[in-house]
Amino acid sequence: MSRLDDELKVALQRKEAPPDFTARVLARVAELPPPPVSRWQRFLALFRLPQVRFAVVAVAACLVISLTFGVQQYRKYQEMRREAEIAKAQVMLAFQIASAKLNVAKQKVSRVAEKSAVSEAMPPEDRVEPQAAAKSQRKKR
Amino acid sequence: MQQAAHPHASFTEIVREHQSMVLSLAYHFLHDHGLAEELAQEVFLSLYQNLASIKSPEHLKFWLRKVTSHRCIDYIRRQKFGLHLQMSIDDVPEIIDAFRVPDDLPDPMLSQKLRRYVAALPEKQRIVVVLRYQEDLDPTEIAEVLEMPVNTVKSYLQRSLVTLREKLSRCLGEVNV
Repeated sequence: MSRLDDELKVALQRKEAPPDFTARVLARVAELPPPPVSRWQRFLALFRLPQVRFAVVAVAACLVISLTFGVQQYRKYQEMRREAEIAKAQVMLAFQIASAKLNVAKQKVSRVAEKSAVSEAMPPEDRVEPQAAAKSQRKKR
Repeated sequence: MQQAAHPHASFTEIVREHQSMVLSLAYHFLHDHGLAEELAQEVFLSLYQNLASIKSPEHLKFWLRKVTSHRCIDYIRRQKFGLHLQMSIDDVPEIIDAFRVPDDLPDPMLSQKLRRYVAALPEKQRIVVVLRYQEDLDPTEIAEVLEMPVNTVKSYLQRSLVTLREKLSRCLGEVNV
């Protein structure tokens, strides 16, 4: 470090400010318009009002209640839908069974009708009475 | 930076803590008490308006140095362009210090002369010298404050020292300053 460095440090060392400097700065600060408030800060400031706070709490409570009720209703609906699906499946099965039975009955009826038509076409001595034929069939079974 | 319950209270503390630094920077650059105080007040007003953007005490110091330096340079530029003034050593007044000067000065006359020579340097060289010797900043820190390359700062510093050494040698008739 040279002598010039030392001399410069001494010559340029900090000086104390006048005692009333702070007061003068504060007096000018007091004259300033209030600092600009951002939109976000203005929005947040709204929540400091008790009425707004109450409204926010009320809306939040309503939302929670509606949400809970909605979820409950949805679950109920899902349950009913499941039960209806089971009932539908059962009805379909019942229809299938009934349909199968009816088919069997229909086949039997058509077989009996065919047989009676054949016996009508035969000479009277070869005819077997339909009632007697049915009896003999039952016996066979 | 967190403000106290009363915003003016913390701001007052800040002004008290840093007024000497800001005022001295402005004074060593402008070599005029009235202008220096006016500029320092402007800097603190600007700080008051931007207090929310200050993150820490270190940032505050950096911000104050930066804003003061830039305002000083701007002021001189405005003067130059507005009034077509070219500053020379003869334009810099001899000032009997109105601020309280510490008693441990080895040679008050020499210090006063040096301050005049510094005030006659071109503005960028001047602010580099003031930041280097008043605030004891190294070239990297000065480069950050003034937003310029470190090598430019070093070159300004070297050129300023050469100029000051020459002037001081001429004045004192010494070669080994």
